[in-house]
Amino acid sequence: MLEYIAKRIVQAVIILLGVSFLSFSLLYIFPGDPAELIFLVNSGGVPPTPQELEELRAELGLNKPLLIQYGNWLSKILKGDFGNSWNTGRPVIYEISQRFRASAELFLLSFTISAIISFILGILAAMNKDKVIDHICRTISLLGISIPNFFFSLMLIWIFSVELHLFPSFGYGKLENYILPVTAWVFSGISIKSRFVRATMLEILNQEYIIAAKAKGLPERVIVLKHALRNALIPILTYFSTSIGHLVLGSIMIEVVFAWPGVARFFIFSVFTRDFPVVQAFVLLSSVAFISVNLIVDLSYALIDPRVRYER
Amino acid sequence: MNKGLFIIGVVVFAGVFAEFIAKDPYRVDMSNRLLSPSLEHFFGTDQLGRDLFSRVVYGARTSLFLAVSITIISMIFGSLFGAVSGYFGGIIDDVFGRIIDIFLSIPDLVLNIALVGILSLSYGTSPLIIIFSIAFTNWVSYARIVRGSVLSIKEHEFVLAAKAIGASNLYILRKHIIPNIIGPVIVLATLNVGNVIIAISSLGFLGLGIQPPTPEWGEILNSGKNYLETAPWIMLFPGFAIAVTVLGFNIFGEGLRDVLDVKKEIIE
Repeated sequence: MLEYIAKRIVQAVIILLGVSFLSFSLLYIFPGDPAELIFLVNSGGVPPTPQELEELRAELGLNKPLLIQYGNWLSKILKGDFGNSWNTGRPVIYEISQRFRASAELFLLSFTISAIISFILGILAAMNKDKVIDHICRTISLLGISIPNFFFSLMLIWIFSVELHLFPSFGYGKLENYILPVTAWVFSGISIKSRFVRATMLEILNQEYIIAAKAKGLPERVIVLKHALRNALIPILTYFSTSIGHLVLGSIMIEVVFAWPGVARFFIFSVFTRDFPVVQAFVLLSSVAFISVNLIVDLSYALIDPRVRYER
Repeated sequence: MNKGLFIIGVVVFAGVFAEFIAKDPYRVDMSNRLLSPSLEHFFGTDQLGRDLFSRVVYGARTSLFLAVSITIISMIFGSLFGAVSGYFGGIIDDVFGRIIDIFLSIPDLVLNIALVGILSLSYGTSPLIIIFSIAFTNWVSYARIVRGSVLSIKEHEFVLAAKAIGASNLYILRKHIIPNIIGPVIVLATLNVGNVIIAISSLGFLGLGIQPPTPEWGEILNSGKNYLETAPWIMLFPGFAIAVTVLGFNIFGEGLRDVLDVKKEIIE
């Protein structure tokens, strides 16, 4: 057990190092001199003199070897220092924490609702394979992965804000502000999740112990709820929780369309204004969120189910 | 599956023969701006009086060209990467496997947006930058699947037998490994085209992708969002075009998966 935990943690640390190096090197993908880039962005396009460039390099430590720069950058980040935003001059971590709440609210609400709906829909579809409810479930999930969420969001705004005047298309804080963004998110969320619940349930319903339970003459409801569901629960919960890691993906387009004052919209704004420290921090933090959720899920899975420890 | 193939056929036809189907998508006509759909303009006109039907038809060419380029590049690179990693194993697999893990841990769209934003600063936004930025994250799903398949295939006895009679690595790869992984890769590629089209249009919608006046579905949607009250068709038609095209690739891909009998767990 301890060995498995140690192995898994070492693996996560290696991935974290790789991801951090990738985020760090974003600044160096820019062809030419990063110091010149930093100067150009901050001066609004006025080219630097050679002397100014030299000073800036010394100031930022850009004249040192790449790996040493990476080490310095990483050791600062481990202390929670992501540098200052070039736009506002305030620490990046402050700017992000200011906007974290709005994003988290939107996410938790959408995630909970989509998890509940997917769960019920997936089980109903599996129990009624090839009947009406199953077709509805499959159609929803096919549409959900095919309709881009920004287009779905715009249609919601067009129908419910512009035409029917029911809900506002932007704004934050009041209950009515949450309805359209959450709906948009839930729609794309249930498409993949309900499909997974359905597939998992179908697989378990084909197992021998289910056939044995059927042969015993147990009612369908008891078989599904007592025998199948209990075994399906672990893979379903695992899948749901790893999808937490993808929270940033769904949020980017939805926050932009609904002008939501969250972290993802701030990221897009920073990309447009070439605010490199914020862009680096966002790439790194969104990956860290994904990696840590996966690690926690894996470890708790190993605690619950001993088979996992030996398999991998 | 046939429905999917039909949709793909229509979109490919529109993209290839745009000149014969549509009018000039660049022609500005300020006296006819924001016209609603009519026989003269099937999809109406946009904020510059350009014929929206023509822009959507030419948009198919843009999206397909980009999506197919990105899919082919990621497929070749990712498959090679995964095959080398899985086949040679040992230290090579340790290193390559970790690289795959790293790329799987970064949310794709976040890195796509960051890359396009940074690269366009020096090169301006070009199709090449969009292809590179999306392929940069997209290859990894091919690498993961091919690596997994190769790892399991090379344990089979026929590979051992080939080795025993002195077959070279290249021969084994060509004769035994590739024929066995081609099915999953084709299914993945078909389903992948849909995701890539969504990624391209997302960048376009954010204003980071293909720049106007070049017709691209995401870019048209982006300008349409400002005219929801007066001209919702500017947003609706390119949106439907994306949704229907992606739907076509998804239906076709899922059909292929069943026909080629690729296990669901491998590709979901």
